[in-house]
Amino acid sequence: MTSKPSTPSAEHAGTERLGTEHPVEVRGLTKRFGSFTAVEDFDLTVQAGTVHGFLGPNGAGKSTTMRVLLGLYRPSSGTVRVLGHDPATHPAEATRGISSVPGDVSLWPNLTGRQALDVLAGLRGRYSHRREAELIERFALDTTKKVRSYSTGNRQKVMLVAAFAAEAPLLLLDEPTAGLDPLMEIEFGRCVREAVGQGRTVLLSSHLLAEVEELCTEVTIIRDGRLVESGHLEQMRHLAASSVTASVPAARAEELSARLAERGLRLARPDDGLSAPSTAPAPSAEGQGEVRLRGSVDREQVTGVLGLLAESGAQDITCTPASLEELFLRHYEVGAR
Amino acid sequence: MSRAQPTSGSGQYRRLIRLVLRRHWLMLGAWLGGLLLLVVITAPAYETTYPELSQRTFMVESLRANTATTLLYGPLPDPGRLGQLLVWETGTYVLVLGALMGILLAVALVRRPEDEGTLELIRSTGTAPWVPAAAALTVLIGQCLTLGGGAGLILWVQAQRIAELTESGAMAFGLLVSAVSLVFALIAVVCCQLAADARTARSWALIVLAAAFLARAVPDATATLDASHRAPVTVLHWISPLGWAQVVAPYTDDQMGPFLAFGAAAVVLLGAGLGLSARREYRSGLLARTRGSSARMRVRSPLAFALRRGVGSWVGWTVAVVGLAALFAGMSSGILELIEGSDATAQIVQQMLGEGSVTSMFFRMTAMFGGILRAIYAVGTVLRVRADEREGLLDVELTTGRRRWEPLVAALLTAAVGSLVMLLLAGGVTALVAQGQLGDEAALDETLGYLVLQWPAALCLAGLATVMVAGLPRLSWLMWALVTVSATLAWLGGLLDPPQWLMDLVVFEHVPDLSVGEPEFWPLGVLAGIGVAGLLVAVPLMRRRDLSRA
Repeated sequence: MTSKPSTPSAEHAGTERLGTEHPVEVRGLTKRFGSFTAVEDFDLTVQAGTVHGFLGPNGAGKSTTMRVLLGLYRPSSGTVRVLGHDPATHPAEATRGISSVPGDVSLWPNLTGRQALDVLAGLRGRYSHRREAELIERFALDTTKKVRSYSTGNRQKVMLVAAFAAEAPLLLLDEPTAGLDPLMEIEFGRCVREAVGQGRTVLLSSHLLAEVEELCTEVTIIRDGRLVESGHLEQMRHLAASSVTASVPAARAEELSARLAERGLRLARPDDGLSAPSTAPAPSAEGQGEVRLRGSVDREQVTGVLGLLAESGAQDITCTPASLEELFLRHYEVGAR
Repeated sequence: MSRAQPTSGSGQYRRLIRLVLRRHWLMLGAWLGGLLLLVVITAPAYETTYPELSQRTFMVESLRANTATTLLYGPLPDPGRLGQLLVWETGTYVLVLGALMGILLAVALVRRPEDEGTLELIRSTGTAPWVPAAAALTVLIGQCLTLGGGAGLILWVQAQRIAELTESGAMAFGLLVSAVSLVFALIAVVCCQLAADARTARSWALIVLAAAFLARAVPDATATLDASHRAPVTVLHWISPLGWAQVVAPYTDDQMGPFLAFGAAAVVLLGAGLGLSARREYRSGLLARTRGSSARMRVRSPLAFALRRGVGSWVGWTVAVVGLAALFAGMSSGILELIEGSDATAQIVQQMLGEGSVTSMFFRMTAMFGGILRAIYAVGTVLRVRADEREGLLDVELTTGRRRWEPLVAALLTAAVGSLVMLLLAGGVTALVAQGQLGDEAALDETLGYLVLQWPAALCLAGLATVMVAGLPRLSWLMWALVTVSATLAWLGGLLDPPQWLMDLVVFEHVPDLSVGEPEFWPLGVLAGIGVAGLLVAVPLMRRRDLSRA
């Protein structure tokens, strides 16, 4: 059972200063470790009251950015504002308004889950014990056991309970569901939506695309420490690419491929190794019937490609905005090359 | 396609030994190098300071008369040849530290990989459970035998040059060092099977070490010495591995027979460790409580949290320090013989030192020993912050909205307050017991004073540790090297006779003699000042750096 959204004391938590619009504003962030540049000239804006997805391959710089936001790393250059504070110089003021769940949860091994929650609540101060009790119930967390004997998932639950029970206007969640079972993932989704309902802002880093697609309205994609794309999820999908499928008479497939190649495009058969999964079962045999082709086409090319397909006598042409997965893989694969 | 053969058990065993050596070579080498260095320098140092046996008479007599030294080292056998002095003083130190090495290594090699999860990784590669255990035990046992072997070899070489040293004494001492360190290592291995985690296992093994020390010290200090100034070998000497030095008596009797019994004890312990390990679950201990607890921990600040977390270790150290203080004070009547006695020794000592200085020397030494223990507690408490940082716990604490320096300052304050309360308790106990033992001879302000005046040393080291954690976190372990060197010089400095500038750097050496007219207090002010300055330097350093788990 969910309680009524608690009074949004989180919203006017006193940590915000005049003149700041967004809970998180990062401009030109660069973080170097010796000669290694983990994040370079990175921008990030998280709008108040949204769930902002933070995506990128492993080692892209997500956690480094998160640690800068938390004031644990000092930026090499660039400006960072979290709830109106510079976390590098005023980490306490910034983090007072942040609930965070780190990617790799560490807790004091010789305390029980109950004691760890007490410590987290006591150190923070602004905390709803009523909400905590409810969350413990919802996440089915046994708080009498020592942290040492907890699994990764249980340690994560402790941090999630503490994060959602804290009365902080901003939540920074770094792959928070990595160790949770599917039921708990659903519960987590509910908690995020409730938090947004209370006017809180969430920055969610995740590899679970379904989760991001379901919860986030905006996403930022980072790769090799650089910003790849950022914006409203729906817009990005439409702008980025469309997924085109069509059945082409086998006799004309060669010719079509050549004409597509002139435009620098390629449509492939679903079974020849492109990573996009096929939606239709494999077609009839080659040479006689038709060949089913599939591919990802940039927004501005779509009209031309559809024209070519029509000229080639293609049938069953579909054109859908890219799923997040396709969007994602496109960006990831470029990085891998 | 060629199929790779699975690696054989013995092949895995050799690889894992290489892995263990690769992971721990620094720790293994530092222990070995440090302890063997002590053995190397001792005999030549004695020889330089007191070349002739006759020149040692006064020193030997005064050492013998001091109950504090008897408690620490046991009785010094007649006639005080170089080898006997070496075994008595450096030997005691090497045996205690060798035992400590055995315990710390055993926990690090046998149990910690399990808590860290690295053992799981190794086991999941298709390695039989016995292989990693055998590799860890091989390195552990090898290290203990190498330590003893090295010590024996060094002394054997020195025996070729120094006439007072014997080859049989070198062999007896070498075997003794091996036996003592090995037995404590195996005791720790047994503790690793019983305790819930590595840290608890280490605490239990250290308690056994403390008990072994008591079991040797008490009968030595209370014994009536025979004609050749030796305390009778009691059952406790056989039970406590630290008492084995008197059973074997290197350079005096060179008894080799007892090593059969010691070896048997090691075999029994090894068997017990292996047997118990087969009976317990992975990552749990046979005596570990699995029952849940609904205890709360209501803390509202990093300081309250640091104090609360530190209670366990504080109680342990306090029991050790106060117990030791009581033990020393309880033995203090021994010095009455020096002050009131009428034999030749007493007369010489009285002439040389004056009455007041005999008690003064006794209590300063007692206080210094307690001071070293308190400094270890204080440094450990501060370095806990670095351990927290590496384990990611500091991140969790700070991101609740806490200032960068708060946990570090909280740790320093905990160390300062903890060591102060500890020494006040120890001082109170010392004063009370000494009053009962010595009556008016024990000046209360003096006995209490010597203990309290060790506080600046602990403050100084804790302050330096704070700066290291804030400024050079990756090198903060060097604090342990500093503590070890300081403690070694303070303990053995008297006979090793290092240059004065070096002794001036030893923080424990600045407590003035309160029995003389105008004691010098300014060095203590400097020490306390370093502690406070450390705090002031550490705060901005901590604010300016990244937190990292590396």
